[in-house]
This record gives sequence, structure tokens and C-alpha cells, in this order.
Amino acid sequence: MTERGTSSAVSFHDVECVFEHESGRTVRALDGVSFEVPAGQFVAIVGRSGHGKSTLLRCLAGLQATTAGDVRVGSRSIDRPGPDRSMVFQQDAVFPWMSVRDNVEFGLRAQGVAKEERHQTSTRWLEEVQLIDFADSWPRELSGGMRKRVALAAVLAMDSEVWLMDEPFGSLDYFTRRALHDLLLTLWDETNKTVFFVTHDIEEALILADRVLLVRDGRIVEDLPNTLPRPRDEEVRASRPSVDMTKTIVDHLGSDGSITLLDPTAGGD
Amino acid sequence: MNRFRRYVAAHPVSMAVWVVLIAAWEVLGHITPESQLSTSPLVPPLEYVFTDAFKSLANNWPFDFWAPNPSKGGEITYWGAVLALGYHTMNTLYRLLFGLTSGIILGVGTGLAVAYWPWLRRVAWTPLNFLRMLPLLAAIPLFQFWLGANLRGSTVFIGFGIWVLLVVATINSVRNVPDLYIENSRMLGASPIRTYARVVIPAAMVELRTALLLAAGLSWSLTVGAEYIGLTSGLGNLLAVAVFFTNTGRMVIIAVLIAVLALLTFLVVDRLSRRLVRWMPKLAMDDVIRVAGAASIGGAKAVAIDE
Repeated sequence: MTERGTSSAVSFHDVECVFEHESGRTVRALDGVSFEVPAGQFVAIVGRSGHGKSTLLRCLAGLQATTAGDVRVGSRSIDRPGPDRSMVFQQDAVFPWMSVRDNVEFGLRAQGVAKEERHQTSTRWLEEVQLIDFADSWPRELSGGMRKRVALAAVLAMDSEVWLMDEPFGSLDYFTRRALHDLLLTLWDETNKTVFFVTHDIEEALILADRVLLVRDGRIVEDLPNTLPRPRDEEVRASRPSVDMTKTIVDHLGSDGSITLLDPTAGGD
Repeated sequence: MNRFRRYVAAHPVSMAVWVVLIAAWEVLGHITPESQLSTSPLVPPLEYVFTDAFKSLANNWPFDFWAPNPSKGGEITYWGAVLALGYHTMNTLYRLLFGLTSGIILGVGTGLAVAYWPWLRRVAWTPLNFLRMLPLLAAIPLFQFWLGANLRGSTVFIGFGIWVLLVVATINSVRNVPDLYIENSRMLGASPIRTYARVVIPAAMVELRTALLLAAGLSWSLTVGAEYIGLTSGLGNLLAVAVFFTNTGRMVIIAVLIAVLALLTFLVVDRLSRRLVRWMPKLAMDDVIRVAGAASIGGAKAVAIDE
């Protein structure tokens, strides 16, 4: 387990990512992205759709090659997926042909972990995400929220240093999402992992993260520390600092005038 | 019996359609003028089909034991007809079973290999697409010249037809596996070969199952076609003999028998392949049957299964 905030877990140095379409047109999805994240930090990456948040995460995952610059986890340069990073995807990526337990054990089996140890590890994390009673179920027998918990358990079982989450709760209802936020924060607190959480939901970013990176047109336009006290309940989220942060984020991401934010703390008749 | 009664009670419209169709056939059988060229009525009434036409099948019993051999002056009997039909049906099923099984094993195996190795895909893709366009029935004479008009020749031909279908279907099934599953597998640390075996192949089974059901239908076309054109036994050969003697009654008997056997083959392949995708929701599985059934051996069969 890594001690929180002691060393640089992840760093981007002048990272560029350019896509070439079949028509020959090129799109610069990431442009000169640089930042460093210490171990154990919870980082939210916020931006509008199509502005490069997921590309940034995929470059860190090793699923997307960069065209320039360097992505590092610790001292290792990243060019492919590795056991030091695990990912929860936006869409439902749980393997439907495997039982819940087999899904959780898939990564362990790939690493050659012995059967007994695999079983112990999967039992531990299935208990943690409250799915132990569904260990032998098919994913089709679970709700969307439960399948997200299976994906979380699979990531936890890998014991990777860096968790990558690409809008993992975007398709869930408000209450399920809130429950999963609480679960994720509990697990993060227990494990001290470094988390990258991509979202377009400002409230979600403010509830979860220590730090918010704002992405626009493939660039980091602002790097905001989130000092709101935890736990970030309804009262904290309705507080002046929270509203000010929201305004700052909207100003940076919606400065073309397309978004107007009403102030919920302002008095009214 | 109770099950049959329940089925009839639950599907009154289907039953009524069957009754109307059979009655219409019978009426047509009696009002259609008999052709001078034909040894039986153009539309054979049922009483003719079940008596004279059926009994005449005894002419196809080739042995001297268990029933008289009409080609050696023996009497034509119902028992001889039953034996003849059984003998030729077994011949057909034998060829079909060998051809279909070998075609499935080799077709899916080749498809998986071609889909896995890019260099093999580059080499094989163009010839495979050419073979897919080849009208298979036109290849029957070639196969019979090369391998003989016998069990080996017909089995290889049927296997070849199934192989071509399944190689292309398997490659497409693998190609259509969502990238998401592959990326998830890679992120969970699986090697390419493990990802292929444990993720890509199971995910491809959904689409591949449809192709297997199509192959079950195609295998009957290939078997009957091969027997019709060049073999001296089997239901296809019986059909050819019936056409030669313009015996419409026998044609009807053989056609109905082939349809029933094709339906049973479809059900067997459906039952066996269901195990490959038992993790799928039941509704999605029924969709596969509906599509494959309609495309392979007639919509009526798919509806029958669905009901």
C-alpha cells in the first residue's frame, strides 16, 4: 500500500494525442498536457463531451498511444496496459458469460494466482462491495448498479496502484450513483490508491475529488484543489465555497456563453 | 397426448390454418386434371399419397432380405416401402451427420485461426470470399469426379459447404466482438491468447450460434442436392427417381419427410448450441432462433419453435 501524498504516482509531460480520420482530417485530442499527481490523490478530470477527458485517461491506461510527450506511472513510461493500473469503464464491461466470481477472479487468474488465493481475494472484495450472495450469479441477473460493483470488485482484486474510472456511474440513477460514491470513497480511504475519475458532472467531481483538472479543447485549462471538508453531504455541497468552485468550473468550461448558472445560495422571494 | 391437446388449445389459429391448408390440398387433388405424361395426379390427393404412392416406395428396397426385392420380381409391400424409406433416410442422415460435424469443427476452427493471426487473414480473406460466392450446387459434379459418387465424396462436399459458411461467419463473429471486452481484458492483465480464448471466443458465440443454426439448414440443401445429382441412395436419390417417374405422391412424401428431419436437425443444433450461450437472457436467445430459423429453413419452423 502506498503512503498518501508521498511521491509522484502519475505524471504527464507535454503529452499530445492526434487522431487522423479516414478523410485525412486530423484532430488534436490532447495538446501539451502536463501535470503531476502524488500517490493516493483522488483526481477528477472534468470537461465537456469530446474535449479529451477520456483520451487522457486512455493514454494513462496504455490503451491509446500518445503522439508526443511522456506518460509515467512512478518511474515507468507507459505505452501499454499494465498491472499497476486498473480501469472501470463507462459502458458495462463486465463479461456476461462469466459468473460474478469469475469476473472478479479474471485478472488474478491472468496473473497466475493460485486457486485458493484467488477464491479468498474474490470473497474478500465481493463482501466489500456487498455482492457475496451473488457470487455464482450471471451478470444478467444483476442490476446496472450491481454490475458496476462487480467491475469495482474486479479492479480492487487486482490491487493496482492507480484506479482509472471513465464516467463509471454516468448511466445510473441519482440514488444508486450516490451509494456508489460512498462505496468508492470508503474503498479509496481503506486502500490509499491513486484515483483518476473522469466525469462531466461537476457535482460528482466536487463530492469525490481532492483535485479537479479541467479539460477543454485537449488542454488542462485549470487545476483546482478541492478543499471542501469531508464528508461532503448536502450541506457542504450547498455551501458558498462549493458554489464558488462550481462557478469557477462553469466559467472555464462554458465560457462561450452557452451556460448560465443560477446561485442556489442566493436569497429569493 | 395431454401435451398435444394443450398445444392445440393454446394455438387455435395455427391449427385452423393447418386444417384449411390440408382441406385445400385435398380439394385441389380432386379438381386438378390428370396429366397424360404423369404416372400420378399433378396434385396427389392424400388417400393416393398414403396408399399407392407410399407403397410404390418399396421399389427402392435394394436387398433380398426382410422384404421382397421388386427389382428382382418381388412383390411390392407396405413393409418394403417402410424399409426402403428407412434405409435411404439412414444413408442421408449418415452423410449429413459426418458432413455437418466435420464442417462445423473445421469451419469454426479455421475461422478462429484466421481471425487470430492477421497474416493468415491477409492470405485467406480473398479466396474465402471467392469461395463464399461459388454456387455450391454447381460444385457437386466436380467433387464427384474428384472423390467419387460415394460416401466420401458426398461427405467432403457437404463438409466443404458448411466449412465455407462457418469460416466466413466465424471471422465476422470475432470481428464484431465489442472492443470494450477486449480492452477490459487487457486492463485486467490478460495476455493476447488468454483474451482470445476467454473473452473473444465466448463473446463471438452469440453471433456464431446464428451461423450454426443456418448451417443446420444448409446441410440439408447440400445433402439432398448431392444425392439428387449423383448418388444412388438417400432421400435426394429417392426424389430424383420420383421425378424420373413423375410420381408426385412420392415427391410429396419425401419432401415432407425432409422438412420434418430438417426441423429435428435444427432443434438438435439449437439445443446443443444453447449451452454455449446459456449466460444470455432468454429473450435474446429466442431472437437468435427467430432470425436463424426464418433465414435457414422457413419462417413457419421458427414460429413453431417460438410458440
